[in-house]
Amino acid sequence: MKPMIRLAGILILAAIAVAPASAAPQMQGGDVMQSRVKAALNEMVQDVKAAPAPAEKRRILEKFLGKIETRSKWAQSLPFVDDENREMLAQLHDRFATHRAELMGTSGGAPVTDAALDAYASFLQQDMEQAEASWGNGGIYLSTGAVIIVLLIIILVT
Amino acid sequence: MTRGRRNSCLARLATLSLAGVAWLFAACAQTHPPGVDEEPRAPTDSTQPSLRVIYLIHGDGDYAWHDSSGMKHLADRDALRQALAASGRTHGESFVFHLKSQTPLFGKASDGTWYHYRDGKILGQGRYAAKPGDSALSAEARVLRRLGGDVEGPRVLLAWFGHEIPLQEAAYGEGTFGVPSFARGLSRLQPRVDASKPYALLVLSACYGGNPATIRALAPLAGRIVASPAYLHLSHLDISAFGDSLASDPSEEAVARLTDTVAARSFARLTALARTEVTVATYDAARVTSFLSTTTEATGSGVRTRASAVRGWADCAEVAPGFDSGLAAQGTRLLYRPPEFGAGKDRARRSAWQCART
Repeated sequence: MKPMIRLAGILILAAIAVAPASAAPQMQGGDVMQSRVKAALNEMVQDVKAAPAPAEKRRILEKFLGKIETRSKWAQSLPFVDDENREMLAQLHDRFATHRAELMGTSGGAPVTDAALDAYASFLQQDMEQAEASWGNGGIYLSTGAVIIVLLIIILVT
Repeated sequence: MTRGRRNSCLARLATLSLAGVAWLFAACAQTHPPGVDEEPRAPTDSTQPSLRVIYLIHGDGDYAWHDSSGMKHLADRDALRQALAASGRTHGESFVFHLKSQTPLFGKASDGTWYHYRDGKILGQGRYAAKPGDSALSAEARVLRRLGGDVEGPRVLLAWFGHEIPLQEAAYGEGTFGVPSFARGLSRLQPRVDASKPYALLVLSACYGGNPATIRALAPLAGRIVASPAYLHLSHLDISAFGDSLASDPSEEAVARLTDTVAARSFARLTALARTEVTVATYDAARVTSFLSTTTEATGSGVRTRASAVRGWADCAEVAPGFDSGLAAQGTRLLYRPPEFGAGKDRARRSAWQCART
């Protein structure tokens, strides 16, 4: 039941996002999407901070990063994704793969220490939130269609 | 039911209905702040203020962020609160513009809200609308002209809060926006009245404002500029020092001190808040010209397109051909802390300039 409710939510959000927004300079549907993405990020960060043990914190972070990494790669193969958005998704994939490698210490450096896991979660959140720096097209430099995909990646797939 | 009781019930029902209708009208009514727009009037006090402060806060788009406790904030609302608080402490004249479109169910659509203060007291506030064909900041310039007139002689400070400003003009709403139109808009807002620059200090609270193209465009307008060459988390430069009295001491030294204070407070706030890179720089417009005249940086692609966003930005020291670090440091002061994690965490130094990658 829960996945169905979540799917319904996604479809509603998607409908809002693709609705014409030419009357206003900003894309309000895109704003709704961004808010949902940021809320999902925030939930993850709060889950990490609330987890009692480092192993649990690490598990939440790894799952979150791994999910985005895997799904952004998968999304690149979707037939309706154009080249520009495919490039964006590749960028997103690389970014999260780098974060995950840093967390696990598989990129040559030491893994993030147990004591720094809460801080690392906040860093990821700030890194994503400040990536929004565009005018009118809805943050993280993705078009509305791609934002929907990102939402699917982050929210729908658990 | 007796007749008297029935009448009492009917009276009560009528009262409730009237109250309901009144509530409905009250709930639907457009709230009109005092001194509402249309034709904002200048205050009757004709004395010329010696200090004018202008705040421009962009509010379209999503400015949401979360603090360490998970609480959601809207960066433009935070900036508005900061500007209004500073205006309430400023000895001089302050104008705050919140550039945020509203399309109410009833009433007129608007493109922003203005607030006018003098000597710490609010004189009025209201909404304003752009006209067809307006360029960047034309509507704000009209309001300012109507309220404050063409004041000659005061020190003028301006703070801009918003997203990254594209290096080249990019489609925005029904027009375009970019560094060139932003610079023209600032000229419109505070025209040059003599050989001196219209602004003593510009604070650019936006990502990647400290790039050669932007500073080159703004340097003719301002004596000093505070900006971030890197991304600026939440667009949160601290302008609380604008409320400190500059009116009593409008000297160049006082402006220089104010510039340093804005940068230092901004840096302190951001380092306490963020775990990402924090970079705040000051630029003395007269002293950075040598660097700007000899630097060739990539601006052709601008920053607006998604393709160029992939390429992104980098420290000019890494990507500008023939970068001269000594020349680049002239007239600048940099406050920098590397990120706690990520690729740049081990980079102890950087320049005060950011360039678009080619």
